Amino acid sequence: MKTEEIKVCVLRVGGTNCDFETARAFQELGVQAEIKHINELVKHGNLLSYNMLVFPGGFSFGDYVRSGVIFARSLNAKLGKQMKQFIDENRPILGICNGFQILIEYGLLPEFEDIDPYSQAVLTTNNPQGFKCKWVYLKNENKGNCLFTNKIPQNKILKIPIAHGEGRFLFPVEKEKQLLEKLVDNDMLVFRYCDENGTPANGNYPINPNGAYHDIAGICNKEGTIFGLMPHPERAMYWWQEPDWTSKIHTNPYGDGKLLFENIIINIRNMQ
Amino acid sequence: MKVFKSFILSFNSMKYVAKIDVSLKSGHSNPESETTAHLLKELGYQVEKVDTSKVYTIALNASSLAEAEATAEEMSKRLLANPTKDIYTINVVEQ
Repeated sequence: MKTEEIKVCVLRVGGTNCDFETARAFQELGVQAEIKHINELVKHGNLLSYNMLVFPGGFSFGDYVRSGVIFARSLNAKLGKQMKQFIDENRPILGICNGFQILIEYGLLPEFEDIDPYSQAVLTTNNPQGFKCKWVYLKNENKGNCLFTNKIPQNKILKIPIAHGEGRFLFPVEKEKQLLEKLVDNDMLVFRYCDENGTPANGNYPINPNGAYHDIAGICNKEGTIFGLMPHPERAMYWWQEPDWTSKIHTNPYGDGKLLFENIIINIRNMQ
Repeated sequence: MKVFKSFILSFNSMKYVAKIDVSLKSGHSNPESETTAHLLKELGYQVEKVDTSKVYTIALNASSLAEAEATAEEMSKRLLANPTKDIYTINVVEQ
């Protein structure tokens, strides 16, 4: 499949607010990215006409009840059958920030055995409490399973910003060690918060900005086709989005976020 | 037939109010309660601990108390609580 034939659906509802930048990042790399409201997909029944689905960041349905849960349940009720087929055909799905919360609440991540209607993880209130909007460092700990990072060298450190109030990744406290082992063994752990030299945050604020267990910032499913992360790669697409853009000479016109978009496009091209 | 069925259903159904209280499981830190406790202490109160929870008050129709309780249980599992971090209690009364 040629790059320009790839169709990406950036799915929005009321409260989504990062759809434009996300679509722009894909369009910059030459693929067709369309922003669609969930009701448009329901009306036309055409989710399966897309090669990839993206849940962008924002505050879907006002973050009521729990971030992402209403979007997840609504999607399951309205498009559950098409979603199942989309997933069964291993078409890639990306969730950024609120999108990651949606994937977790839908039960698509971590998805150890099968899609779990009662998710085995949660993204909850930051600790320390409060909305955090800052640049963080991420270490790619994936060994090659994740279709969104498998062209990025293992242990490479990326600089990408976060903007969230509920990003603390947790497992049930009684099973956290066991589930972390599963996550690592299945190569589902992708990004961890670290300092600029790659040393893990070990839970310490502000390197780990939200208190996430094991400094987890992004995970994928067992097949590597579904990926969620709290940081916003679409906000690290260009050099001029970086905080030091006036004080540094930039030889690369792009930021680290581009690597993720580029990575999945290469894989979709080879997949079809 | 459809009209007849819904008539039977509404004839048999009664009104209930379910109060579902969702709170954090012990073992996970709760920054909201910690921050609140800290501030109450600063204001001079002898506070040892604060717990926070969210209460949903839901008016619903069901044919019996048992059915109303089962419905409230299902709502909690499907939407209102995440078993990873939450526990919940349900109290249903006839209106």
